[in-house]
Order: sequence, then structure tokens, then C-alpha cells
Amino acid sequence: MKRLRSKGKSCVQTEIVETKNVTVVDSHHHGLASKNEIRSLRKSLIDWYDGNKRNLQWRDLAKHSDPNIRGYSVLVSEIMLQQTQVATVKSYYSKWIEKWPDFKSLSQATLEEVNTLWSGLGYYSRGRRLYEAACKVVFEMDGMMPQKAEQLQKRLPGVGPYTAAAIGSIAFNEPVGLVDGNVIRVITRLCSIGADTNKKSVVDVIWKLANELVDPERPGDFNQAIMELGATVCVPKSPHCQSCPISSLCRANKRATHHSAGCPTDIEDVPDCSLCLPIDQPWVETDGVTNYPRKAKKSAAKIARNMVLIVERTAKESASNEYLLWQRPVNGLLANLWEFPSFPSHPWSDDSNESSELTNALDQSKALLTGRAIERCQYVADVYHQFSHIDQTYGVYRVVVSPCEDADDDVLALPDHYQGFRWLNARQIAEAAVSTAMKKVFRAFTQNVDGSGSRSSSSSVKRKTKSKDTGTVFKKQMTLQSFFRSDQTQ
Amino acid sequence: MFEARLLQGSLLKKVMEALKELLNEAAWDCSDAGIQLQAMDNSHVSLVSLNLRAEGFDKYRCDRNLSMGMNLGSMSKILKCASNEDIITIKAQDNADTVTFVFESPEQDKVSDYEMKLMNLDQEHLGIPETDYACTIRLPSSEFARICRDLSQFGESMVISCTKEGVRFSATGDIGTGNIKLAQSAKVDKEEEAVVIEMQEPVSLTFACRYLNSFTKATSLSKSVQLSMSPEVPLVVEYKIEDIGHVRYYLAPKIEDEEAA
Repeated sequence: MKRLRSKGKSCVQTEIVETKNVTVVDSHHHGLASKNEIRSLRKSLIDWYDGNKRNLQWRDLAKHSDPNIRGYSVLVSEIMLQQTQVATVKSYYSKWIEKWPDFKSLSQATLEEVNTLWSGLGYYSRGRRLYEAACKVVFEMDGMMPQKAEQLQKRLPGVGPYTAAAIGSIAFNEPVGLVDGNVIRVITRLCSIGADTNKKSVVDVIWKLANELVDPERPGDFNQAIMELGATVCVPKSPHCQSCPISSLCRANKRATHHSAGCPTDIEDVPDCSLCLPIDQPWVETDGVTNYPRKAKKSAAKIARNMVLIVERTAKESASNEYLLWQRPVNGLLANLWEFPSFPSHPWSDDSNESSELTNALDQSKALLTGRAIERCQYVADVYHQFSHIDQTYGVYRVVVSPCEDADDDVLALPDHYQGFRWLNARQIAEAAVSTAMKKVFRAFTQNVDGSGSRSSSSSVKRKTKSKDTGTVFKKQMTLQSFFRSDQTQ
Repeated sequence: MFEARLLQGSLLKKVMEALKELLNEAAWDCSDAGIQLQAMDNSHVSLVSLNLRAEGFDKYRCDRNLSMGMNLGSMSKILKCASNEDIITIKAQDNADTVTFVFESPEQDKVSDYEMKLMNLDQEHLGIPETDYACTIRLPSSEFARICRDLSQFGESMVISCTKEGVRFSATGDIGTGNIKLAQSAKVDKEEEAVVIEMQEPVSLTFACRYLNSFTKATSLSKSVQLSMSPEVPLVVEYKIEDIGHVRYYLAPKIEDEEAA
């Protein structure tokens, strides 16, 4: 049940929202025309959400009595959910909340601990910003987080307009709309917006619409409903319009059903409209509802190849070998994570033709490893990893260095901005703040090099002939139906 | 009425060799433009597309489009009864449930005919988009057959990488690794012996050797073969059949299971 205070406030808000509405909705269907339509949309969506929502841990915590716990729980879940699927986030979320249930406990952690727990979730700067936000709330705001979207965005690191609106509406019942990928899809279809959604001007309009449509009484539920609808019903390919609660209001659905029935529609693309489908890429009959949203094509991912040197030393008294890892710079890709020393190579080379690059890399590593001699270097495997914007191949090499009498003389000349180095054994590597890509590299390494793990110390001296193995990079046989469509006319 | 007469009957025998390893049965679609056949193997990993143009036959008549479902094992048995020098004629009535193969010796002193029952086939037909491939590689067909045979000893998959410098085939397995590199031919005295690479961007893809080996059963159809590749799409292996058409094989690549960053 709503508290009276917030109810009173939201009524005022309703008036403003609905009068503003008239000015934004233009003459040809890029909005909902009447107050009745908007009311019906809110009701249908929220009724549907009440009956269909998934049970997720953060949704329960968002109802906690302490506003700071509510805000914290939503903040953590929203940051984890950025660019990451719900299924992946679930387990990380419960581990996180168990370890750090509130801002105070998180502010007492170290960045290293945060990175370790975040390890595998990707986009590592998110974890760091969350930690910084907790420190800020505890040390600069007396442990009380801001409760308005505008303030949240202004004052907390890592909180953008989306996350601010999500926290404001879900945790503090502030009537603000929000826009993410799911909402863009639902709104462009609902309001037949065919303009390029990579453009800021178009996204601005969608934000405006989201603010108009949001339910003033249950903004958090409305926002989650529209996102959930986008994630489960109004999906990118073959949306389930039959079971959609708002299909009767949906302009794209209207257009698709009218077209397939052969009736003329009142929805037509207006040549000079900045929101209609572009005239040179008109409505495609067979695509139906999925004509929306339109996106300009992204440029292809960059292709890169790095040589990864797994430098192996026999530990003096322990039984397991240790490997050299260094810590990446504070900023940039995979910031602060530990990795095996890597050096760029040419994107299209492979182990047979990168010998000069390898020599350079080894020279650099020699500078790193004063006091140790490189006994041998051997190619192990190629490992492929897809980052969102880079197709990365790692050429993995095993570099065995001579044991050193005095371990303290490992003086490393690190590349610029790199933060430090450590020797870790296989078990420690599994637990350290290491990216998924580097874990893959190490997995390929252990699969291909016998005795690299925890055998007797003499194992590092044995010569192994086994190098490349079929098991390094698992490749799946595709079928032709993934590429060619069945052709019914034949 | 359908009738197609081919002076060089051995061509049809070779086409049969090129098909029967991958396909058990297939529909031969006949129209006034010629004969077409498109079928996937049972695993739906590869596809064969055969095109024989009407002009390539010595006599060709097709009054109505018809699709003849044939058991390729049976058809192969029948074609084995023809000598290499024989003239082969394929005949069928418009709504017939049989097809007739007539073999005539060059001197016309021996004529045999075989009638084969047709099958009702409900095959899936794939629409293959016209694609500008990032790399096309033309090489002697016997060389390609040799490469596939040699490398399949090493592993079940083969990586084909094409760069400006040349094309590299490699396979890895329990016994070790095999790599074969072919450079573009510098001099082209005989066009069919040349290795010619046209490349917009470098491509590297992994394929199952088993299918590639099956494709090379078409080697006798043509002195050279053309491979076309683009990132993350099926490979096309094309053998031209002189003056009459081509057989193309499409093979889906092996792709690493995607994992989000």
C-alpha cells in the first residue's frame, strides 16, 4: 500500500504529466492520443505485471522498510543488470548482498575484494563505481543516499539517467519514466517510431514519452512492467503479440495486422517527419511489428591479436608452479584486473609468423625478470574471445624461467600505468580478480600442458611434445538453417 | 514430356559421383531453363546445388516444370550400366511416376534403357542469398582434394585462412598439426593450374574435414575449384561443369560457442 505522503505528491505530478502530454504528441501517431488511452495502457501493463512478474531477489529487497536498504539493493541490481542478462546476474547478486548487505559494509571492503567478486561479470568499471558510490554515501552523505533521480545521477558515480530513474521510481516511488533497450523496443513499436534509435534526438523523444506514460501511483512497477514486457513478450525477433496486454494500443501491431489483411491503414510514413520510418527504407511487409525499432548498422567489431606469455616458475618449497600476473592500469579496458603479460601482435598473424613479435615480447619480459633466465618458450594454443567491440585472439605461449635462489630479486620493469605484479599458483588464479578471457587462456594452458598444475617440482623440467590440442577452443558445428532461410515458394 | 540428351554421358556419371556421397535422395527440378537440384545432407550441415543448363544438352525439351524425386543409390546403380562413351538420354512423361534412362553406344549398335521408380520427396528448399564474398580462392581441384585428404589425417576440423599473401589450410589433432600454405601463382601459363586469390578482407574459418572430403568427389568434373568465404557464413565450394553448369557445395562453419565479455 502506498504511503499517504507520496500519494499526495504523485497526484500533483499526474496533472502536470497529462497536460504536458498534449504538447508532445504530434498529429500522426507517435504517442498515445487521449488520456483514456494512457490510463488503459497503465492499467493493462500493471495488471499484466502483477500476474506475470518473475520472482527476483532484488524485487523483494526493493520493498524493505529501510529506504537506504531499498535504494542500495536497487542500485546494486541495476548496475549489475547493465549490459548483462538476468540469469547471469542472479547468482552474483545473491553473493554480493550476502557479503555486503548495505552501503556501510561495502564501504569497508577493498577494491580488490570487489573486483574478485565481480570477476566474470564483465565491464569491470561497474564494480569499481559501485564501490566508490558506497564510499561516497557513507563518508560524504552520512550514510543517507539521495532519493531523487536528479540528485542520484548528479551525486553518485556510475549512476546515469537510466539507473537514477530506476532507483528513484522503484525504491522511492518517484514518478519518473526510464528508457533502456527493452523500453526503446516497446515504445518504438507502441508509437510507431521508425527513426534510427542510435540517434540521441530519437532517444530523447523516447525519454519524453516514457515520462508521460509512467504511472504516477506505481511508477516503479510500471517501469519494471514495461521492461519485463520488452524482455519476455515484446522481444526483438518474433514478438508474442498474441499474449501482449497492450497490443490493442500498439501502432506497429495495428499496422501489421491491417497490412496482412490487405486493408488500408491510417498509419503512413510522413516524408519530413523525424520519427517515421525513413522513406528510403520503408515498411517491410514480412517483418510486421519488427519493422520497429530501426537501428543504423553498427560498424564491425575490431579484430585484435595478442600474445600471452604464461611465465612459469617452480616455487621453492611449495609443490605447485607459480605464474606471473600483472595488474592492468586503473583506467580503460579491464581496468585493475590481473592478467598474464600480453603483447600486441598483428591481427592476422598466427604462431607460425609472429616470431619477430615474440622475440620482442620475450626481450621485454627479460627486462621484467631480472635474475631469471628463460629456459624455453613454447607455443601452446590459440584462444578466441569475443568482447562486445573486439574480436580478440590470444596466442598463448608458455615461458619457463629458471628457479631463482633469492625470490626477492624479482624486480619488474612494468609497462606504463601497470600497477604491479604477483606470482600466483593455479588455485590462486582461479580466485583472483582475473577476466573471463584470461581464465579461458589459463584453461587452455592447463589442458594443453601436462604437469603445469600441482605435480612435483621437477615437472617443469620435463619436455612435453604435446602442444596444440583439439580441445583448446571448442567450436560448435553450425547447420545451414542458421544462415539460409527456408524458401517456401519452391 | 521431358527429354534431355547428353552426348557426353560420362558427365552425368561424374555428377552422380559428386552427389551420392552426401545425399541419399534428391529432387531433380526440371524446367525449360534446365535441370536444378538442391538438397541438404541428413545433418543439414552441407548443401549441394547442381545446375545443368538446357543449352548444354544436345537435345532438351521440357513442356511442363516437373520435380523428379530420385533415390540416388538406385540412380547410381543404373548409371554404372552405362559406358563412359555412351550417349545418355533422360526421359519422363509429364505426370509419370517413373523416369527412363537410355544409353546408346557411339556406333548406335547397342541401346539399353532402364526405367526407375520415382519417389515423393518433401524436401526443404533453402533460399541462398546472393553474397559478395570477402575472399575467393581458385585453385586446381586435384590440389584441393589432396589437401583435404592429407589434413583430415590430423583432425576432424580444418581451418582455412585467407590473407593477401596466400591461403593456409591447417588441422590439429592428437598426432600433431599440419599446415599447408599456398601462395598466389606468380606466372599463369595454364589458367587451370593457377592459384588465384581475390580478397577484400582476410577470413579465417573452421570446417569439418569429413564434408570437405565428400565435396572433392566432384574433382573429376573440373580442373579447378573455387572456394568463397566471408566471416561467419557458410563456405562455397564450386566446380564448374564445362559448357553446361556447375555443382556448388555449401558448408556451415564451426563457430566457437559465444560467451559474453
